[in-house]
Amino acid sequence: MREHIRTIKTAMWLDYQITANWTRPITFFTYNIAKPVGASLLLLAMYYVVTGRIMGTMALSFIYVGNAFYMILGQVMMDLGWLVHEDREHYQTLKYIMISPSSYYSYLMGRAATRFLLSVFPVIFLLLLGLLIPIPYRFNYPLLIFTTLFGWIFMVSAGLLLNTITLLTARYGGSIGEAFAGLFYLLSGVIFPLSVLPEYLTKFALFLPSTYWFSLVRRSVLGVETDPFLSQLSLNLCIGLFFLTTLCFLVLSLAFYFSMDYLARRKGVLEMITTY
Amino acid sequence: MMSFLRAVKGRAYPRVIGALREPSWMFWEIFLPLLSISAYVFVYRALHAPPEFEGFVILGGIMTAYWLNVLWGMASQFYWEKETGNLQHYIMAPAPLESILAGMALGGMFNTTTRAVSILLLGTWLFHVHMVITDPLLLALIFLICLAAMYAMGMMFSSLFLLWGREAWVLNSLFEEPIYFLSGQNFPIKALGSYVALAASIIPLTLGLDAMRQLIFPSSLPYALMNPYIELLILSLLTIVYLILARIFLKKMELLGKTKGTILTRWL
Repeated sequence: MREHIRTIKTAMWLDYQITANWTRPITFFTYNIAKPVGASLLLLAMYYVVTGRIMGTMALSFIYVGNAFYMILGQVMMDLGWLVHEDREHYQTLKYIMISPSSYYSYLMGRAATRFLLSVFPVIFLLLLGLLIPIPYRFNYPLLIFTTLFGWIFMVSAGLLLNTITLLTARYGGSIGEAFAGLFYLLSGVIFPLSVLPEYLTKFALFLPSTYWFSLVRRSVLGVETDPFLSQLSLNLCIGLFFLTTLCFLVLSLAFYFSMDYLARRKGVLEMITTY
Repeated sequence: MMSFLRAVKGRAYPRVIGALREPSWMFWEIFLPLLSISAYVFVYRALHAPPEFEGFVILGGIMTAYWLNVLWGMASQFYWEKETGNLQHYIMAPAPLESILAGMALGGMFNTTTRAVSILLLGTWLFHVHMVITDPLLLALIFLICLAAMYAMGMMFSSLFLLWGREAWVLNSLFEEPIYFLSGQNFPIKALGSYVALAASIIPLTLGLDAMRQLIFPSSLPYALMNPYIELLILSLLTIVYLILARIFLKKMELLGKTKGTILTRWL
């Protein structure tokens, strides 16, 4: 266990260096915030052109809070999609990490943890910015902490699923990550209620942990779920479904990890260079 | 002149052929933008926006495909070529660097057009977007000049990005969401107020989108920033300015490369 924790800590430190050491911390954190702010402003402008106002309604709160928290999910997915390619082809260190005595799964968890933590800062900034609109926050802190921590487990599982797939692919690292992030954005009721989707997509959305995660986010930040479809679920049921779907994702990611790792070693693609 | 044109053709060739040789990329390039486009369309539906707003999203998605190509396929391309070891060959080749950039731009435009047409067809089919083109000739002219201005901007950035290290990568991602907002990707730019909209007009995408919205969705005229003819004129001026700046920066980059000797230094 101590070995795993040490690997996770080292991977977290490494990931921070890779992501942020190109500049001073203050510049990095400004950059880290600029993208999410840009995305939020885009949605605010869309809301403004339709309604002619920018003051807090529940519809606006729904969009704003969902989009702010999506920044964590989107960033983790997109960054993790690249991780294997980066290690294997750009830094050419994957083979060394693989033959080291530490667990590669722990290493990936550490890398994912840093991406998650770095994405939390823009969310905090956006939540503070939301006070200007103003978004009617009614925080349920225990629920928010639970949602964030379990959200991390779900995101790490989804991210690792991506990573293990890219162990076998020559390209598509970024595409697979973007596809995952895009699907979650479209199908989880992030910025619009699920009832707007065609019926078959709404049914599909109910199998995604992210759907329940965003519902829990709204319940813990706004104190209420405004999605007409998801508001029919009680809080306990929502937590239960989130827990269950996350567990499925975790099992799936572990199964993928072991099978893809086995196949990658068998095929000898851990050193694959495609100049990509 | 002949060597210039040969270099343009030579550099455009791998991009055109590359698109055809890797058909699976085409799937990702069409499928991925459709996800975010669909999400934005559903936002407008949830807000009960007028139908033409859904068309704004499709149009924004099409033009964003070109913007992303300008960023990742033009602006950061020299930097990328440096990383993969091709840049020295371009510099040594008996052809000006401008011709290499022009070839990249033409090849990139071809590549992206296949993606843009697919987004247009799929987007209008999926969301039943109704378009009424009032002046096809002017629309085509604005579209082409807008592309020219965007790619000229990409050429200008390519020299600057080359001088930086990983900052180039970072700057590219910084030019995505904030630029989508400032250019009015999914909404009429006039909503940001005339001063902000005018300031944002140094990004060719802003004026191009505004003009095309007016010509494709006549009901959007009340949201227009300015007359499309004036926008065409400004876009033409921007093209010339960015091309001149691109040339100046290329020369500057070459000079710095020779004096400092760092132009081929990889950050890995």
